[in-house]
Amino acid sequence: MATDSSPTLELTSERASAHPGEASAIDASLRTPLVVLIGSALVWLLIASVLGLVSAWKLHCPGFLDACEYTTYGRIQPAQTNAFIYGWGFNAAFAVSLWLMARLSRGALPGCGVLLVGAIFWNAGVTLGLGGIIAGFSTSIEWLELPGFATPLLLVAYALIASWTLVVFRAGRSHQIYASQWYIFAALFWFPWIYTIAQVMLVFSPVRGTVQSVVHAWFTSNLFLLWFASIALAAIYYFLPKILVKSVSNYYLASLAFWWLAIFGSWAGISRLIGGPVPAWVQTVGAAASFMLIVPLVILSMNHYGTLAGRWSAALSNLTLRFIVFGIVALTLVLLAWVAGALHGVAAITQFTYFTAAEAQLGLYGFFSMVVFGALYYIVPRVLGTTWASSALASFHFTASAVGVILLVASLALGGIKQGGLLADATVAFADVTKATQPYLFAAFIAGVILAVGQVAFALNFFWTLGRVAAPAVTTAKNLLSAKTEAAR
Amino acid sequence: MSADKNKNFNADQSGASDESIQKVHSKLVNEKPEPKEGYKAMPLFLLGLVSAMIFVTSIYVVQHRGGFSPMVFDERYDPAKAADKTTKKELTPEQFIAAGKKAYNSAGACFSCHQPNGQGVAGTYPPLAGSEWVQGSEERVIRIVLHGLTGPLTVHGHTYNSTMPNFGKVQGGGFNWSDEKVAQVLTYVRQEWGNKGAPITAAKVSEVLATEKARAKAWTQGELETFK
Amino acid sequence: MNRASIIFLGVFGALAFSFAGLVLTNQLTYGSLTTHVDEDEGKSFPQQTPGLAAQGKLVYQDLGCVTCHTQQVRRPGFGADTGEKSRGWGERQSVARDYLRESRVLIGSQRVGPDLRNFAARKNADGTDLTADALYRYLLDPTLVSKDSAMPGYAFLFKTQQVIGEPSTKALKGLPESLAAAPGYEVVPTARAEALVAYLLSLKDTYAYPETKNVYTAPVPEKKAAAPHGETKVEATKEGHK
Repeated sequence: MATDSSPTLELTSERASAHPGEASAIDASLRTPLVVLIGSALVWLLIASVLGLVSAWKLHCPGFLDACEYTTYGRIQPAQTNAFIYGWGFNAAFAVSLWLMARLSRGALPGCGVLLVGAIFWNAGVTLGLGGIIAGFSTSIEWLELPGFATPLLLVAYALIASWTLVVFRAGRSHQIYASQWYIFAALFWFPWIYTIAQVMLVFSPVRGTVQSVVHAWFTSNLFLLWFASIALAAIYYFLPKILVKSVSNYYLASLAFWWLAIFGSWAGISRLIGGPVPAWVQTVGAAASFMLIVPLVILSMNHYGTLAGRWSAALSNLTLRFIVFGIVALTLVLLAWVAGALHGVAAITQFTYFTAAEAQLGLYGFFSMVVFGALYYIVPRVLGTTWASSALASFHFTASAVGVILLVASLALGGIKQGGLLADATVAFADVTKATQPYLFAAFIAGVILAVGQVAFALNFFWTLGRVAAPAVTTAKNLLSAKTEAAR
Repeated sequence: MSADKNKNFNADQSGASDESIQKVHSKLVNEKPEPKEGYKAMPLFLLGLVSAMIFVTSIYVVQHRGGFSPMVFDERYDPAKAADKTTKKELTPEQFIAAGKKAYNSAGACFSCHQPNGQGVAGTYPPLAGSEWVQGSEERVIRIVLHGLTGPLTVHGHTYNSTMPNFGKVQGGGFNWSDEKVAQVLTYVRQEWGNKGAPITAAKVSEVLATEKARAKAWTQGELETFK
Repeated sequence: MNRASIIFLGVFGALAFSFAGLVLTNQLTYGSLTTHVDEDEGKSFPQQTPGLAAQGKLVYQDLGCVTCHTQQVRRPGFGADTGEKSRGWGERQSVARDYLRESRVLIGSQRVGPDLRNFAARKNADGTDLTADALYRYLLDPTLVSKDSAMPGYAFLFKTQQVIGEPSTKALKGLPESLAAAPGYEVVPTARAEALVAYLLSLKDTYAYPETKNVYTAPVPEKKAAAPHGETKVEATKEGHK
């Protein structure tokens, strides 16, 4: 007997489902908040791309724009990472998780004013925070550089958006809870906790000495694993079976991966403190937890690659899945790099080099952003009730993003390894180490240019599509939707 | 071809329905896929992997725990093993004397009265260089440093009159130097500036301190002369 | 929705487990570390940063120096931070107590530039100590000192002012033409530059706390085993003849 051929275990298509118009109704009700969230996310992505180009060029050519203190590297680089994480990353994560939760819970709340207020507060907070960084109020804590006065705005916005999503979860028509919902539910609960603790113990009421470093490492790794990775995994678990019309392979193991990631993943971040001024047992436990990440890596690979098995041509011909497959491969590489980086021999070379920056880019750009791009390519036409304005721009976006990410990660990783090797040799003068990394930094700059151009294409495509919808054909759009619903019955 | 390539551009609801995704997977959560023939390798492999990971990481944590001490920052260091090897790093004689010199010249200590050259101040603070008190009986000189000295003192025919504070671990003491430190400073002065006294051990200082544990006040010349 | 409650409890428990195990445990075990009183020197370490240096730390933070510089020395044998054949970035591994009095611990995570933990303990090539003057020149334009440096210039930390009467004692001397002021003017560090340099010159972790002795030493192989067979035979015959 083949594995999933039993009749009750096959997925039915939307057209043949019991409630055919439901999905469209949900999409239509979420239109305004999603447009605001996605639109702001894309604007932040462009801002982060520009800041990224400036800081990458500064590394290569230090005299660039150094006359003014507002454009010094130490302010532009944190501004870039914070714009990317809190501007692009969070807005996109909110959009994707809202839509996924509404779809999977098979219900949405009327009156999305709460979401709009949340989105506005969030963007206000990020803008204020970024202004603060440029003006010199940065906290100098990696990934938490937004000054303390922006935090309340962010938390209020988060509370509004997260509570709406959780109410949808509770009030939805669906009686089962699917893997995507576990991840979103967990992520929505985890983020405010780690963020509040980090803000309190680092910024508002700082703890003593290197306990700050422990809190910080705990926060940054959890931000990636328990927030960004969770949202991206929720998207992967949804879109793979949806588009391939095939149930997730070895799904019974998915909950093990979820719990393993939850329990051990939150300890794994401390491995970045190996060799640092924290007690040895803390470093060891962090490294051990990082090794444990092998188990969810294997299970997730079984789920993802197993589902893709036999459907590769279908997957690669679909735009959403092309992005998602890229993200799946990036996830595998990121987890492998994380495990490897916890080994002392490897850490002695790669710590504090561009290799760690490459890992961060692979995780945030190569995994999270690519998966979310794919998700957005699926979500936007359904929510707006129209097709994408340009398929050429979309293909270009994929190619540019894929090539850009590969070039960026490869150049930073190789540059980092070379840098680490030279740093570990005390006979090499520091200036020579810097000189040796310059070609790699230039390659990273070129990658940044390619990525930026790709993101411009994506933003253009989105706003063009939006423009088409907002055009006088509003009634036409409504007819489109109702016509589709009729056809689906 | 391009329409085929970039499917999903349209708002049509192709693909699996959300309801069926939920329903099917909620069944799959409890059902393993049917085995083809014989053993399905996957779950067994995963079980093996999980067990191996738990085993390997447990050993790793035990080996590199540094005694779970918050004061150990080097993961290769084992406080239990290190305690066995040397309870206390033994100082070489040169290091012992150097430590004594450091104590002699530390803030508010010996040098401020007896001077860095051991000459003292005429009439007030006796010299240590060439002093018979310093080079002579261990019992006397240890007591002087531990409990202090008060009243007139004759050194090589000259009289000095002042009060020396107590440096040892005695009640009401301001310095509370360890026995080791007292021994170090005594060993230093007994060989410096041409002095030829034998070194003094910490054990001897502890012995004297125990003998005199009831004593809190400073010695006088007369009391000291009873010791040999 | 019972399953939802189970998921919630599990999710809460998973994060509570790591929070308690990592954050709380460390806060309890060494969050209450106190300074170490040294009897010989009559001071307690680590010492409080002097006022100007504390202001300089704020300048360090607002300019984002931590983006490129770490402030942690790893143990010997881990890269070339300290120990034999090292870059001389520190005499010993940094321990938790070194950071005890810092309100914001900036150990950093990238070494685009060298580690700064023991910056003030460094010596120039000819063995002399670092001077504030040399540091000002470096901050003004690092490429003057190090051609391939990736460090940007901080000219905005300096100001050009007219020489009124005597030139200021703080004026930078010996600047190349491109950076020197016009005749009758001088380049002077601003208060922020002075504070930053004071901070950099206060970065010295030379005190040896008791816990710095907890360093692993490789066991020395027994010398007896190394003696070849022939030697012992000769010694034995010698003994026999005595």
